[in-house]
Amino acid sequence: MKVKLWGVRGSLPAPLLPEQQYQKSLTNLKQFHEALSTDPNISPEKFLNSLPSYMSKGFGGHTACIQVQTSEQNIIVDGGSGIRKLGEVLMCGPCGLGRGEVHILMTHFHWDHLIGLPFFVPLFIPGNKIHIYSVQDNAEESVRTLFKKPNFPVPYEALGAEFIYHTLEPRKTVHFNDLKVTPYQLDHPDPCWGYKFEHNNKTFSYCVDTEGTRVSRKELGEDLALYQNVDVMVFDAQYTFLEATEKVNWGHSSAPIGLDIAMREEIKKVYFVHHDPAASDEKIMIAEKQTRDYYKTRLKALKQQEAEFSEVDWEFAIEGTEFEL
Amino acid sequence: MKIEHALEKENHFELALSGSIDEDAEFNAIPKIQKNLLVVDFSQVTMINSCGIRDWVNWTKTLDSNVQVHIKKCPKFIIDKINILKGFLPAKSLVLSFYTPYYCENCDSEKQYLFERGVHFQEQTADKAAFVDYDLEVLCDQCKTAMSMDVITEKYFNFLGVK
Repeated sequence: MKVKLWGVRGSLPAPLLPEQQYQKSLTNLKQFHEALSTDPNISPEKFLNSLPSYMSKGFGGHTACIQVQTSEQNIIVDGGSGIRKLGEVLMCGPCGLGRGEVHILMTHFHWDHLIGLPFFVPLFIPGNKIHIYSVQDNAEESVRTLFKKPNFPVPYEALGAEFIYHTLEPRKTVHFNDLKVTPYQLDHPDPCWGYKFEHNNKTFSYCVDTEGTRVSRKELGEDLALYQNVDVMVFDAQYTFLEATEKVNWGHSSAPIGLDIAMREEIKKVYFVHHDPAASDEKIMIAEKQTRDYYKTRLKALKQQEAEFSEVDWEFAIEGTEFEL
Repeated sequence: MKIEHALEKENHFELALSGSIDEDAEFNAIPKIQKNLLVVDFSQVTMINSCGIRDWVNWTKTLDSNVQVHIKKCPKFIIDKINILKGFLPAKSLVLSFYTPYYCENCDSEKQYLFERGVHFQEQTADKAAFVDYDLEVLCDQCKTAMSMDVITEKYFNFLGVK
């Protein structure tokens, strides 16, 4: 099972401003100049690869969209602005010939998870079939809203592809050939459903958007399964921990909450996403450092208590991150 | 988490918590604080995680604005959280006492020494720098030799305003 994160920002696309790009380039060039003084043969590529990803590439500005692929199946989750680039890739295959069949799972219908759909080219190509899946029964209404004049010049009825809407049953597994997908409810101001993917004894959970209000096993109830027997989890960490305590009921979480769930449920790896659009790359790194400090103190306390726990490999994901299970 | 005691005293409300403050903690079970001073004893708390911190912070926000919070006998991991997370302690709160770990190089033993406000430390104020008794002599219970403070001082005492 391969997963690619096409968009890791939340709420609003956040491209790097020209001035920010200039400052980043300036910082990197200065550091490269310093590196040359100690190693005159260092190549630009080697230097850039030695930097943390947020310095060389940045976290990225596209909103939520991920792709889950197996040898038999290709599933998209959410239509944030990141779906536009994914569409360009798909157009190189059957979608470009009007013979494509696209499957899009929707977690919910907030703008940041829909905003890319009007620019997802496969929708415009006659012959393509676009399957949209959601637990909520108003997916068609939400998609049609995107293609309404005067807000968008192409009306829904003029789209070339055929749309097929599927309503999923909560917490009931659906089979996409060799891939099993189960929706579980998340904690968000409007109904929002995360997805658990299972393939060849490997499990991936997509837990975005969520505030993580319910964390105890008792509170999670039937939704606890989203976090159990999971190899990799993608979790909402829009805010720093302090911001999250201030923004109650805003619908987003912080990395320490995700870490504590992962440690308790023995999740091996966590990618934190849905970065705040107002957060610069430097600010996200500060949040990462705070999370690292938190994680260190938790590990130390647990070791001192000789408690049973599971260490977690984690990172704040950048756009374009790919991993294989 | 367990509420060891929740007692209304003459001038203050005393609350003693124990166990793990985590996602299972029930702060709603704490009676309404009717005094202007709340003293919270953390000596028997064994662990606090992010959910516990979140619930603690949310609970302190429900206190009346005139309630001052004093916390005492804080284990090191509570002080670590205070240092990492601005907002762990509500405004107008005070740390009355906390444990500082000491280490004996002679016999490889550890000890938690209770630092008390006004005796071993004082937080920074508008007109006074922070004070910490770094020279305090703490003797090992086993071999009676002087122990070493086992923290990175500028990090551990940062919440006092130590520079």
